[in-house]
Amino acid sequence: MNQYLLFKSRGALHAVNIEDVAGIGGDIGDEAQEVISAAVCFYGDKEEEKHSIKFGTTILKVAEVLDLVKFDEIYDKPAFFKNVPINGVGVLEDEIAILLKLKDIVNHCLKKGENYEW
Amino acid sequence: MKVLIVEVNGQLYGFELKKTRRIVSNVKYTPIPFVPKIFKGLSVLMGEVVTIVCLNGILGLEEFKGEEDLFLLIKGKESSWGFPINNIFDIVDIEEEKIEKLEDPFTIGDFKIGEEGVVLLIDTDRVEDYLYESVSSFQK
Repeated sequence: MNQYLLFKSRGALHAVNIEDVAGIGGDIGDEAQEVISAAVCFYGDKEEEKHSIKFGTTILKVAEVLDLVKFDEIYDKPAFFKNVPINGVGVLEDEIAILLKLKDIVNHCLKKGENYEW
Repeated sequence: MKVLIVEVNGQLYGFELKKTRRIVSNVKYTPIPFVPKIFKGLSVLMGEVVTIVCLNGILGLEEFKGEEDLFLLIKGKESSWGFPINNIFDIVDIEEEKIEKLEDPFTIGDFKIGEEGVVLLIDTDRVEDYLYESVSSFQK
């Protein structure tokens, strides 16, 4: 079973497949230090896609990186969210984490514009 | 038609019993990114992912008041969805001719129940269609 990087963002649990993670960083940007304590870097596709992708990686601002986990169960997302960049949910004991679909998130953020923060 | 009546923010809402799945308590759910606020989060109940929504938000009313202790789950076309309620009121058998049609897009109509007041009978199919539509329009 795949390992996932578990983190907290917007007060909720999220997770990404560790194979998609390029690294984990500290504070990013002075103006963001009060609300951001960590950053997870994801592999991006195209260097020329400026703003959110730099040097082949995408930085996703998160509140707290928690753990590397293997979920007890993984469920597909409900049909409502067919076009939403999530994969489904992972269950760990009695906690539920939203599994993020990274490539789709990058596209989503680029589509929304440079200042878009999810 | 058998109707389950529940109370949300002091208003009575009816749901065709055959469209309801169950009432559950202590539902933990996780908020979903990239979706409209009417979606409160996802939960896993009885081995199924359940989408928790805000009924009041869908109906354009003020936010749910009170503790989120009880949730009514609706049988969806592909998966269940549900929302917090304040109380379970009753289950009644109502004749369809006693239901007065309304212009509201999310209600089949309303009917009176004893001295207690008026019950808005919710069209769960229409609500579910709206949930699908709201995600796709939010994504554009």
